[in-house]
Amino acid sequence: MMNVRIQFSKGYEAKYVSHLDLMRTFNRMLMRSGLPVSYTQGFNPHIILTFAQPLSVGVTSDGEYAEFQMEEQCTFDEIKDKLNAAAPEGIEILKVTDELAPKFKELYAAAYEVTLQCNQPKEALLNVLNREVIPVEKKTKKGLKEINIKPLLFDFSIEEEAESLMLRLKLASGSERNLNPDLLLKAFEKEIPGFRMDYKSVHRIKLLTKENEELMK
Amino acid sequence: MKNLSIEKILCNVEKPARYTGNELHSVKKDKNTTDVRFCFCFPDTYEIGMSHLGLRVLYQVLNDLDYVWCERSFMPWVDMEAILKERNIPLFALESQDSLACFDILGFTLQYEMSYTNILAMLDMAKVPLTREARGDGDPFVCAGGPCAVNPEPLADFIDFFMVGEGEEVICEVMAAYRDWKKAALPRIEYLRALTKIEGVYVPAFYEVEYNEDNTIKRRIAKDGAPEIVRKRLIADLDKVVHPEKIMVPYTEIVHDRVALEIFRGCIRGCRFCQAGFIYRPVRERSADHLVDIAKHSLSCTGYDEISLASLSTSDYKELKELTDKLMDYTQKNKINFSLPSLRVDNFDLELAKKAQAVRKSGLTFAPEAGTQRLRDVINKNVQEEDLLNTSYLAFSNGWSTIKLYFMIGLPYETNEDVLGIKDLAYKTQDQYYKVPPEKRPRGLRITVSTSSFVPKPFTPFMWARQDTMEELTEKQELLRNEMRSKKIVYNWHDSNLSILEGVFARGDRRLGKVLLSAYQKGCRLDGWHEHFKYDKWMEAFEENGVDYTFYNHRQRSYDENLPWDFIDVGVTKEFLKKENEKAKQAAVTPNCREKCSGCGMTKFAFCDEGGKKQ
Repeated sequence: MMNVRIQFSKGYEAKYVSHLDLMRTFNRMLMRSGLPVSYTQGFNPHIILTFAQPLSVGVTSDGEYAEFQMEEQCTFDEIKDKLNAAAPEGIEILKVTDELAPKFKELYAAAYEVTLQCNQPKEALLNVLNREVIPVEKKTKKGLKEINIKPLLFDFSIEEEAESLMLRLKLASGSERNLNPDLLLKAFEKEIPGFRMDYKSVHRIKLLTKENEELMK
Repeated sequence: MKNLSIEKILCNVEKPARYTGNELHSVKKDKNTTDVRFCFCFPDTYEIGMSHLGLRVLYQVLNDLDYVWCERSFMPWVDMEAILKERNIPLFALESQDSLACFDILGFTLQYEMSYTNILAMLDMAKVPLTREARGDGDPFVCAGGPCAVNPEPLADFIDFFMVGEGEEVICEVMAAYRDWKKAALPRIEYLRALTKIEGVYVPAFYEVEYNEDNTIKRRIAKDGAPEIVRKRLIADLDKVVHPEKIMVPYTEIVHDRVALEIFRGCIRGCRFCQAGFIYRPVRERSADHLVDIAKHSLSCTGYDEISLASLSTSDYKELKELTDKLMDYTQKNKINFSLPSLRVDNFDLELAKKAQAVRKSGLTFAPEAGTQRLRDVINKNVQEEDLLNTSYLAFSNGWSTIKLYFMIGLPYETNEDVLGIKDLAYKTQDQYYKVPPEKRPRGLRITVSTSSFVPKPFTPFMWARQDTMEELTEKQELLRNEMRSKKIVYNWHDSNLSILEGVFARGDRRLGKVLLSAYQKGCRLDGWHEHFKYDKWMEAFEENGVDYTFYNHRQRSYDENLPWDFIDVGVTKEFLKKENEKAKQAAVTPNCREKCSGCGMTKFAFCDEGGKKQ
């Protein structure tokens, strides 16, 4: 038996694939790859497959991670090549390992790059991010709820580029505390009068533990 | 390929993955080096269209031609339609993201009458003129095919040409003719003229219709040498045409998210209400060995974990046991689900049903169609009550606890007694459950009874019949609702006002074009989706155009009336259909084609391999 962890990217072509659909897509990709993947026991067997952290619809990423098991040993290169040959457009396997540490549940933060075209200067955005409290309205099962996202914003910088602003963000990520970059952009809408966003593209770079360790080296 | 204006709207719509393309096995070609750009337009949502086997077949057939690039477009959901309009973005094909207006030919498939407004909506979203008369140089040709093309007339104002019958061969001839026409740089009408020479193609521009004072058709006039009769196309040997294997694998879930294996076309049964049973004749089977190869290849190159068999009356496939044995060997080994559709109660095979259940346990579905033996004989559904009851007993004692029963109401020659027979049959099925000793039957009995409302269709023995009115249908539904009081029986019924419109368009003529256009302009679209169906707007459209819809569906037609689809030849003769209708009146049954040939006309039209003795 072999445990496998992979790092993959989700590019432009696949960025609108929801988490549930991505799981389906991965199941089929594993079937096509011909790798000896392991199934659960029982009446309705399915492939044992877990993902580190769901990615929001519309976001691209170089820092996606998944784990599965195989019945037999294969080399990392063989696994990577077979998966990439079976991958649909927009999904690319970047790295393969059998090292399962740090564990997915130790996940603490995610690094994002956000390209933003809006009608505001960099300073206006920084002004919001630097506040002690950043209130936003979040949709929950019970309706709209106001939350303060400042404690979930670990680090940020903004750089001016030719026609846009580049926001580098480190946000809480994990099953307990998680901040979706879209929610942060909503804070600009709420806090800056006349804020208008013409275009945005959000890209996840990597996932990190509390000790700032990457999920895969 | 990245169109920024499209990119900007995708994060604002529901399920954006249906508009992005890039699916595994979707085809991209260089538009500058292909002679014909064809867009397969499915006039319903992505999830429905991508499930359709015909799309998968023709996509491969067309893209196998090196000079053609076939792309796809689907009816956008209402949020997407609104935002496309607001941003002034034309409806685009998924592969290139180019506007439909850039294409040489747009091809719509006609699976269902209630998708007709979606055709207009899709053309309009791409700013393609809606009527064929308004289209000119530089506009795409708009064509259509599929089962509803056997009565093309209600769409004659909008469609440049129809392909009648099976499409694999005729569509290639249509592409070749386009390439020749384009090279010769001839006027637009010349392509259409060339198409009239291709068997199975109907070009409405070359026909005129005259009417009698009572609104029935006086005569049809074919102009400029166009054929008087358009014969449907037929594939002689299914093993020699493409069965799609490298089928597209969507990123997002679709309705039938699995490999569909088409095992045969046609049907030996001859149920008198069923259009498919007549227009797809004769029966042609693929060989089991070939099918097993197709299945294995399809599954391994798509990664799907489910396969189903597609055909009419599946249990009539001659090599069914051999096929399922071989398939099950493979699917069990590879942890793939195997599902079987439509089982007949008279030749129900318990072993077969168990095989299909081996990986996943689901309910059993049977379609007795009518509640009494008399009415089942009228519609020639040769199923005996005894068969259903025996089968139910067998199923209940073998671990099944849910059974679905499908019926129709509003059938010709139906009485209230027949309607109540549905209730009786459901209760008798329930009794079968209690006859099984409690320790041998599963818990949780549930019988679901569904009734759909019968719509008379062209090329069936009931094509002359009067369709029930909405009031009559509603009364019958209420009768059943009041009578079926058992907690173990769930009753579902269909909207009867939708059936009324289906009936109008199924047997309609050219004069419905203006009604369709007004209904679309009044906001009708996605009519097949309950939440978007606007019956009142449709009624306004009929009224404003001075068209009495009851003329089309609540009128008993006489045998000598000229019917709007009389110029289409599907192989089954009108004489045979008349004879069948007369037999229906007597509740006399016709044996299936394997028992005895009933002389439907197919042997004269083309060929028929069924072994029944000729009459």
